[in-house]
Amino acid sequence: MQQQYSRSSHSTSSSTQEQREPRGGGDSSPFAKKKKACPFTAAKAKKIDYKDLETLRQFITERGKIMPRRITGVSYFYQKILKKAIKQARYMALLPFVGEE
Amino acid sequence: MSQKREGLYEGMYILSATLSNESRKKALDKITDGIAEKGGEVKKIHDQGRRKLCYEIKGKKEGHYYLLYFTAPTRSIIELWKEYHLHEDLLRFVTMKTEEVLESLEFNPIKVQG
Repeated sequence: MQQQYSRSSHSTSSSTQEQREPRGGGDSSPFAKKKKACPFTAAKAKKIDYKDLETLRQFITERGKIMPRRITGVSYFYQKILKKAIKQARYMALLPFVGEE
Repeated sequence: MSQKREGLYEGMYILSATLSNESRKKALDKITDGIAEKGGEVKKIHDQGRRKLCYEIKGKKEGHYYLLYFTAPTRSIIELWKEYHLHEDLLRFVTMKTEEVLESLEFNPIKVQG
């Protein structure tokens, strides 16, 4: 027990800064996330087609839900278009409303 | 005068896969004839073949997909829909305005990185 205490005190006293740095990156908060780039903005997509299932499948979960853009990094502008495309594909039974578990 | 307005449309149709080839052709002819009757013109027909439906429609698990590009007077679309609703072998249909006729249905999928 005594050894453990001494070890922890050693680490806190000497290397607090070193431990924190990789998390937040410099002096920003440790909770700050890296901003993801929007794949549609990068590709300069003019529109998102509901028939393009390969693209759409990347933005739904296995259960068939549309993924939130805080996870995928899609911009607000394209998320609205993507949402519409997925819903159109669902209506034509190209994508499931409720996927298998 | 507004009756002469025309638009380019894209229609996707799911026909029942339980139909024989002949009766499926007949059903498709019924759709194309309906467009022609209203003064439209079918530009392109994509036969996408049999596909498994992601959920059952009218008790069917498979469907035969067709994608048509056609021009039609804007007023006639609503009449076409009324016909389609009476069509028994047509499981589902959708008509949308488009700007261009796609010659091939292959897309460059946008990949998500990471």
